[in-house]
Amino acid sequence: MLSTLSIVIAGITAYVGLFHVSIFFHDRSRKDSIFFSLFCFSNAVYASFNFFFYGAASQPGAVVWQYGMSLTVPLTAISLFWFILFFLGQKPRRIAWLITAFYGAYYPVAVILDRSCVRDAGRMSVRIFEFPGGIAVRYYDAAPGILTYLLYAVHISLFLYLMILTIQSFRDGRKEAKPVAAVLALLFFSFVSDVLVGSGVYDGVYFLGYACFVVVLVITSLLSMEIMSGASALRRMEESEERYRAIFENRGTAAGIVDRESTILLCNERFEELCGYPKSEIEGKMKWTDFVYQEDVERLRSNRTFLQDGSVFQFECRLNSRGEGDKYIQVNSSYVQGKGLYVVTLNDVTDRRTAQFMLLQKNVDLEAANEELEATNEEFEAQNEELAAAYTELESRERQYREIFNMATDSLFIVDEKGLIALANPTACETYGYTAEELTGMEISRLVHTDYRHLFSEFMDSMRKNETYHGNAMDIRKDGTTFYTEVRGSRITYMGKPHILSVVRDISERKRTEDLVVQSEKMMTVGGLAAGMAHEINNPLSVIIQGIQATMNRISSGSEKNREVAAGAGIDLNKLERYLEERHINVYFRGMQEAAARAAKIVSSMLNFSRGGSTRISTSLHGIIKESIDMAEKDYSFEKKYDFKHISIKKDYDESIGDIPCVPEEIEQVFLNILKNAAAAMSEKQSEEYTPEIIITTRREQGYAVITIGDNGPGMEEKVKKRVFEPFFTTKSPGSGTGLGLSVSYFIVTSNHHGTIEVESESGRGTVFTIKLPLGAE
Amino acid sequence: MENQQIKMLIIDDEEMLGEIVKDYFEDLGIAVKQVVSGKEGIDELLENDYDVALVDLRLPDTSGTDLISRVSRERDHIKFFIFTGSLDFILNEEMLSLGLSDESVIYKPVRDMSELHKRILKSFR
Repeated sequence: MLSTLSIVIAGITAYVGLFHVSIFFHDRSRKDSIFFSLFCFSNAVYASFNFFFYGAASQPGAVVWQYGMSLTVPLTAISLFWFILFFLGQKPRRIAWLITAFYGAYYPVAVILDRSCVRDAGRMSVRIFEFPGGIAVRYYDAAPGILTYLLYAVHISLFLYLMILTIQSFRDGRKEAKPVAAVLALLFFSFVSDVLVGSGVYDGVYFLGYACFVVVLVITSLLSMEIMSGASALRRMEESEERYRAIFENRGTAAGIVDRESTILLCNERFEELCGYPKSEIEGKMKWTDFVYQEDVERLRSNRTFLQDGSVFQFECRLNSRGEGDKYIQVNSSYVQGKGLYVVTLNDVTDRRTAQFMLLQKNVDLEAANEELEATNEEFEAQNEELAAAYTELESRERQYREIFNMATDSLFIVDEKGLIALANPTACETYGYTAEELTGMEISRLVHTDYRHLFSEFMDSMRKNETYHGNAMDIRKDGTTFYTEVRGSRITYMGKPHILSVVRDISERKRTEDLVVQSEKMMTVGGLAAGMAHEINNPLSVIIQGIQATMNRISSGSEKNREVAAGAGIDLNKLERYLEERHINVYFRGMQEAAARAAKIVSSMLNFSRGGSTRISTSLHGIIKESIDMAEKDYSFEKKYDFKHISIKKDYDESIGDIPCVPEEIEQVFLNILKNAAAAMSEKQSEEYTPEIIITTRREQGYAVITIGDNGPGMEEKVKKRVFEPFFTTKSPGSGTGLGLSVSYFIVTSNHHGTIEVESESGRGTVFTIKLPLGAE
Repeated sequence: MENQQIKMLIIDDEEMLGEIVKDYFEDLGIAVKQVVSGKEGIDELLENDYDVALVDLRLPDTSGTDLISRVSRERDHIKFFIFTGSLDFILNEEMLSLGLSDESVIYKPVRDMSELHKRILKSFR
């Protein structure tokens, strides 16, 4: 009965196996199907051997069939193992290959070794097993050999491994794991039962074969259900197959269906074109990664989402094609739910890439150009700003300089290299009395006094040598008047050409002040000295002068005492007098007296320098002048050289000037000194038609009474004029003047009266003294 | 007052000058004594009865004005003349209060001593 069952099982199982082989050939991605069919066939073989085993009438026959059965077991196990691996979607690991290798190794070992290692025919037993219901089974059974026991151990570990895998898969959310676990459990229990039966623990039948048959049924129903549901989907697919196929084929995109191992299962024409291979070479044979540059593939592999179930993936890479040269493709892969398949489309993006690249390149170029332009622009802008700033500054500076030029209190000239005035400031016009138009184009040398032209050429020389010039000179105004100048010169650029900037300062006032300061200082020294000396000098002078007087007295015959003493000495005083007269001794005495008196006068004059603080009283100015003229006329009598009365004195008075605060004697002395000097000077100039003349004028000027005393005498040379106020300076012969007259006058006017005294003179044209005395509070 | 009635003291450290002046006035009949220091002058003026004193302004031990102010308090009848080489000398208030005037100041050098004589005589009027 069991043998009948076995042959039925063998038939069914073989059929199932064939069915799954056909499925595999229909869908090569179904590797689980091929392993399942293998499992089926091995089971079919086993069942067949089982049929003979149970049906064997003799003991040796049974042993052979049992041996055959045992040999099929490893194949069953290994095919089941691989089936479960693929069914659960597990990737074969090293341990899977190890297990496979072990089972594979079993067969040569089993063949080489004695059969008893598999089934020990020496330990045979007759098994009689009675099924419930009275059906008894009787068969010969050889005890398991050493190899069989070894297999048992490996089976157990295989079971454990598969259980672990199943549980893992279940945890990963694979529903297929559940029936697999049930199948494994069933197999495990039947296996344990068989081992126990085989070891003779209890009597029974070998159960595993039937369990496998159940497994075949369960799995095939599972697979069938899957295929059935897949088949209905397939039908639906088939319905739209053509549509999809049309889309698949005719879409401009190269597309392919790829399994988990990247093998291209299906591809369209465009794919062929793109890759340069015919479909027949591609489909099921080439991996799509074969068409991708190795570097890009590695780049891809490093990407975790690549070909992971459920993920949509997109990237760009280079296509390693056989034709059309290098191409860039965009790869899109999307997982096909539940199929372990991916739809991979390849878009030729070469043009886009090239365009993009070109654009990019252009962009880069443009960017570079742009950057360059920007930099240049910035540079220009900066330069512009700088220029603008510089221009503004220049403008404001120009304005400043123009203002400075126009506002300067010094005369400023810009002179070209020929010495022609290019520009003169308002002060220059005012100072020199020319208009700006007159000055422009004028030779600047014309402004310099002829006596100082040599300095002007020095000036031009140093300008040519590019040196700065600094010097003093005398310049001449339009009206012919002169003034002292301080000149500075330096080279400048004006209107883009080399020019000379000449700065001229009128220093007449300063020079005058300087001169006066020098004079005052001298006088203060002389005055201070004179005060100290006067007493000491006057005593010895007194001895001389008074001694001579006393001497003359005692020689005189008019004195009774003299005559008395002379008589006692035997001298006739009258005769002595005659002797003294004849021998000019009296003249000597008078000369000595005069000389000493002159010395006394000098001391007295010098003393005037230190005198001060004399009370000023209001006195008529014109009265003082008259007094002075009178004294001059009287004074003449001492000097035989000139006659003051012959001098014509012209007066031009401002009669409104009345009294001025002064020390009248001092002012009188000032006028007298000047008048006497004028007379003395004019006496040198003698000719028929010459009429010596003194002009005295008075006028008011800004709180001052201005008195001028001018003569038409020979005048003074410049060097004399410079020194007239200097103490002890005189042009008169020794004895006829002290050399202190004008310096005392200067001192009286400036120091004692806070006025001024100046002299103007030109050789041959006379001399004019100008005295300014404060009018005081009127 | 006649020359013969006048008794005069000359106080001047320039001994030669004092002697000349002394000789000149003695020739005129005036009784003249000459000393060369302030101290001698003061002693002489206080001990003896002088009518006129010609006092040098700068003396080695004192000044002419000090001497005058000191002596004139006790001998207010003496006519003092200040004999000085310092031409810038001006009488101060005190001197003026003691009866001195510009006439009392004789500046050295005296060109004509008769001038001095006239002033002396004039002072007794």
